[in-house]
Amino acid sequence: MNFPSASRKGGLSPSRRLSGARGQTAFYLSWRLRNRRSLFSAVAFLFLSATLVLADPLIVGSKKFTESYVLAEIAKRSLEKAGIKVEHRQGMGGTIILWEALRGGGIDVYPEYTGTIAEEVLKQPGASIAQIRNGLSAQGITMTDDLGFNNTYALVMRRDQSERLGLRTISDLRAHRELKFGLTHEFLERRDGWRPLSERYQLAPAEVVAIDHALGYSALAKGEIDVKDAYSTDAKIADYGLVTLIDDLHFFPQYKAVFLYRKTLSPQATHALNDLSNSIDEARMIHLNSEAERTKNYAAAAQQFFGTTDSAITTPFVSETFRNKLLRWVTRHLELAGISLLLAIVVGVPLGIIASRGGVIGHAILGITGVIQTIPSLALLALLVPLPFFGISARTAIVALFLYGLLPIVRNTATGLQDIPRPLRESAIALGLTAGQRLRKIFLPLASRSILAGIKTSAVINIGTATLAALIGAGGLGEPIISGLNLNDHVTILEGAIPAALLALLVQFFFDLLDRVLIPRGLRL
Amino acid sequence: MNALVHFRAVTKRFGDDFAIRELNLEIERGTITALIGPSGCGKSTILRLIVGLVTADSGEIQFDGEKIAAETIMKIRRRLGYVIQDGGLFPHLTARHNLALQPRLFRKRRDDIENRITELCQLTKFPSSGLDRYPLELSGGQRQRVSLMRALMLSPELLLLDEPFAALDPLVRMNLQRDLKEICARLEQTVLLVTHDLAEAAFLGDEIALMNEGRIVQRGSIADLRAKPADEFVREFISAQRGLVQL
Repeated sequence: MNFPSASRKGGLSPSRRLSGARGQTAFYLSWRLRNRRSLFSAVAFLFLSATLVLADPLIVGSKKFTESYVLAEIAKRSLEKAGIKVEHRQGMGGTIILWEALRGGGIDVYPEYTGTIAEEVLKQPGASIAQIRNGLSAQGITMTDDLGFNNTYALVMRRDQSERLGLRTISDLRAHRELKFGLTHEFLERRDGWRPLSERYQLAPAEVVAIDHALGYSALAKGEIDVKDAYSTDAKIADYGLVTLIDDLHFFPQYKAVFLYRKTLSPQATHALNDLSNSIDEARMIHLNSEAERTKNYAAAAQQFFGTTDSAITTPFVSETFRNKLLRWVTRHLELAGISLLLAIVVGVPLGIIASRGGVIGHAILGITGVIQTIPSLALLALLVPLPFFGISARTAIVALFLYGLLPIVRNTATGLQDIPRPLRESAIALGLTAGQRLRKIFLPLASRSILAGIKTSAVINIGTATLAALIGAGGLGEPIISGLNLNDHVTILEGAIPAALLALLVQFFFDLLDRVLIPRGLRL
Repeated sequence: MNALVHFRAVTKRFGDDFAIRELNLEIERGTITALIGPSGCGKSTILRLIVGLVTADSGEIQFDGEKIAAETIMKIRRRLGYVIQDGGLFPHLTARHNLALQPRLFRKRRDDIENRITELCQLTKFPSSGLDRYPLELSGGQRQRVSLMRALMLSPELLLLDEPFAALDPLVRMNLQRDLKEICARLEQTVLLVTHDLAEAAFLGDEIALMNEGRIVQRGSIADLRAKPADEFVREFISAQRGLVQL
């Protein structure tokens, strides 16, 4: 069934362009092998192909924590019951990335919380539900009624410690500056997070460290930290025997769970989403979260929500075998790293040749590629996502990886050419060869060892960095690593980390073989 | 009148230092001229100006009546052979490919190239079994023979040799000097040789041009230089190397 979404009105909106990206990259690779046309037309094709329109599933996004995954799965199931084709891009980088993707059309639906919308998205702290609806509407976004529970921020402690110290409320913390706080990066930076909270409650703990949400729970259990921020429906609060400190000054705003979706969604889809309002209370949500974390399977937890008697589900849940998953991750990973490496070579070698001539332009090229390297990868992704051409897609990941891959190739090409001894350089000139002939026949072969070493470095870096593509839902071996981090589950992390490490070794080995083919024998004596 | 190379009041500076100043020089066809002098006297610069690796600050250089300039240099280079101290062979190419590189890019026929290589192997006494070796697999003397062959591939009108034997051991050097003399005689080759070794200049050169501080101080045969030194510098330079000349 063809789902009448935004594609009808805007066939070239970013979401339509990116939704076919996965199939197209595979097609692109095989096309490359069949037709040995110039690399430039290949690159042109890559970008053109992105504008083609294929059959579009509706895309549901989620943030990288359990509840977001489960709610997205529930939305997916509800939409599928209405006969709509759905894809779940799971575990994307954070509020800003999901919001920009929704606004740009990269995704169509994602679960969010009213407090976050008011504070972070609309920048109207304390806005009423009506004000929030108005603010969203102005940006082409609608929200469902709340799903039935309030998942607000909370501060949690170990039960034994809170009882020993007699701590019940956040205000009680004021007298215990020695307690060590371990807070998530997002909470530390939020407008309704740590800074205003500590001002309101006059808290000045001796030590505050930043720590990943899931890792923070095990740090808290081990006593490495004493207080941590949590979501009030976190399954781990019960699992680890923690207590929630009472927000006695009513600092935290309401965080009612809702689905945000694009106004252009079809009536059936809108209906399917709104059917979910007021259907999940706090106890139910905690139970689903804990099921998801126990079984390591979000889809199965979402299934529980609908109950086993429900036979109307169009695509019954089937657990994907590990082999299939691994194959999917590795293929995707190689696609991301391979295409970006190819682009980096096509662009990097000519830039390296220009840079080898020195001068203002040469220094500028080396300087700029060097600066790009210093941008943290998550920051680079967050910068690219809001741009109209990119959004949440493999394309964004490929461009980021391409940018990271440039420096080693550019620098090694430039130094390889600069290191050619002057007598050889002059002999080539004295033979009466043109600049182009000198470059092709003499200088590039002489610099081949250095250039290949640069390409090898880029390839290995790309294999490693490509794990971050999962943060923007582009898949690859980062998928298990990120969900593993989120679940604090070492086995799942290793499911991604070990293949990624093996892949890096394999790539290294492959390039060592390539050296023997591509570096002229006379240079290897 | 009909000099192959003609320098007219040529000056070349590197920063504040004069490499050559107000230099006049003519090279006649069919002669071997040896440029000699202490290091830094500007003798290599003369070759580099002809090849166009550096350009003159003032004055004019003509090759076969044509002014050496940016527009003419590519054509002129194809009429020159240039051999430097360590040969300048490209390490990624075998001896054969080093030889064939230039004629192939100038679209010479494949069998013509092969014939020329065979011919030059005989002339330079280079064993053809060495043709498929890479430069690093050849001895220093063999490398210089290949380098000389490469310079002679297109039958250049002028052969420029910049200290071609300086890095070789004495026995190898002597053999090569003898062979070179024979080759040049047979080809009636016009040669401009740069050396710091008076014995080599005397043995190979029809004429010696002794240079000091960017100028030619005296030009003539070794006998002229010894009998009638133009100034104190010439006398000292000759006597400093006398022991060798008596060989």
